[in-house]
Amino acid sequence: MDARDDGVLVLGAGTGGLVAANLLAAYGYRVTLVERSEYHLFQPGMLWIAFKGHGPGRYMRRVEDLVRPGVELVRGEVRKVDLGERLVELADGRRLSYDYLVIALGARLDYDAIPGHRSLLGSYGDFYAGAEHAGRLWESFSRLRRGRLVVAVADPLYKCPPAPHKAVLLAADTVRERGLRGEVEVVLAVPYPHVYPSSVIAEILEPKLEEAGVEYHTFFTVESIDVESRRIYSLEGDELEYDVAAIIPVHKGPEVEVEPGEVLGEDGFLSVDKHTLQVKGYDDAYAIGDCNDTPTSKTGVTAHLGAEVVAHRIMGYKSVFNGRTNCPIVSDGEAIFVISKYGHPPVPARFTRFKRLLEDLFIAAYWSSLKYPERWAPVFSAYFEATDPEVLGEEGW
Amino acid sequence: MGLESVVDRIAEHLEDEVTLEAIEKTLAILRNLERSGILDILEALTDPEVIERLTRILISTSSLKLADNAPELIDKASKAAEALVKPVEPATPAKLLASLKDPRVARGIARLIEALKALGED
Repeated sequence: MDARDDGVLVLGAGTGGLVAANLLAAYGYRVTLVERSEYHLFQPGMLWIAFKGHGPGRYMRRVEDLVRPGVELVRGEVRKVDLGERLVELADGRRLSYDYLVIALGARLDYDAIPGHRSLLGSYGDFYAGAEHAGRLWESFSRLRRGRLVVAVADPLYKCPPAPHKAVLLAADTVRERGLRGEVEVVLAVPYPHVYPSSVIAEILEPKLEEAGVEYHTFFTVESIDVESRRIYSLEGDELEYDVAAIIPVHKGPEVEVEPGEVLGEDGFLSVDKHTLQVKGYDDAYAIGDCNDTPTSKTGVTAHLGAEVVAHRIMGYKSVFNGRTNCPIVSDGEAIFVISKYGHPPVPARFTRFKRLLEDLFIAAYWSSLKYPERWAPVFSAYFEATDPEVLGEEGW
Repeated sequence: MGLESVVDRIAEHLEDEVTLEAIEKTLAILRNLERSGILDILEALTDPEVIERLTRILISTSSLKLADNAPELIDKASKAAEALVKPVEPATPAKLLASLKDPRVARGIARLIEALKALGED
């Protein structure tokens, strides 16, 4: 047993965890960061591996290279969080105490919730389960000379709402580049009434998908997969045939025991105050990013902004999280951003080359923004203020 | 990575002629930048407070919208410039009235009116 006293304990070195840990360390806090993996993944990069054949190297960095001095990195798996006792227990028995706790453990992907899903993952890979699986999906997709690639969604709650749309647009682009349009069909199936949860964004996306030759199906919630006959069945009673398929898995809260259990909401996500991100009932524990139950999209941007809010609150500022999203959808050298916040649905968007350039710049700045978040804060703050949904209004951007 | 292996890796790069030439050119550029004071300005620009002031000027709703529309604006400006240097017959009052029926002229006037309204806003 090795117990530590005081300081900030951050669980998870994803986007939110790294930003919180590095930001607090920059202001002199003693921070301990617990992470089970050796590598941090830039998750949107999985789409480029799976549908454009990019190598995984550019989307992965060693966690220890992303942690600045002042952050003690502990390699280990979190087994139990005891909020009452202010103790975190790791799988190997080590126990860590804290003054402030930041839970950034991400969401758990459940490949057993849908019959046939684990077997489908084993057959073709996917773009959610990590770089290796994304590479396997590229192998499956790039071998397809004739037939149907189906991208579907198992449950409306998942990380990065535009991920399936980006997936099919990138796949359709690859099919076109290879001269296989007409031979290889790219198919998207979503559970919503429109092609995107927001009808405003759906109206912009539908013509783009049609132009790219993507066949799309709405009201299609995956219920089961028959890998023998290569068919996907929906709760609504429809079915889709595939030759290669990737289905976005059911997302659940992190796989850790939490005391008291009442702080876990539906599907194991941590119940937090949506503005302060404090775990309900605890003023010394926060949950940020994909593992909490805030009514906003689960994305890297929300994790980053949530981490800034939590770090500032620990420093004593009355910082407030507004649920802001900025999800990029990329197509043929152009992009849009799905911009929304609490109480404000996505504003209208227009595909432009400038937004694609901005997205490229965001990606280029990603690693630096994780390690030196205080350096990027003024730039991001100016951008998010300039593109606040209320400022953009009905005209959008 | 130990110091020796770092030195070995750098030495490996220096065996390449293109790399050597690039380094020599870079050093020449750096010397000129130092003499002209540009390096001092660049150094000041990396100060977090200066970055903050600069981003507040450069990143605004208007600048982002302008950059978004830049390709269309450049296209329109280029077409207007071409039209301006094209030889034309002087417009008579009759031709002027007739041209108002041209939908391109009507759209152009409508756009000018919108632009004038925007310019006239307080």
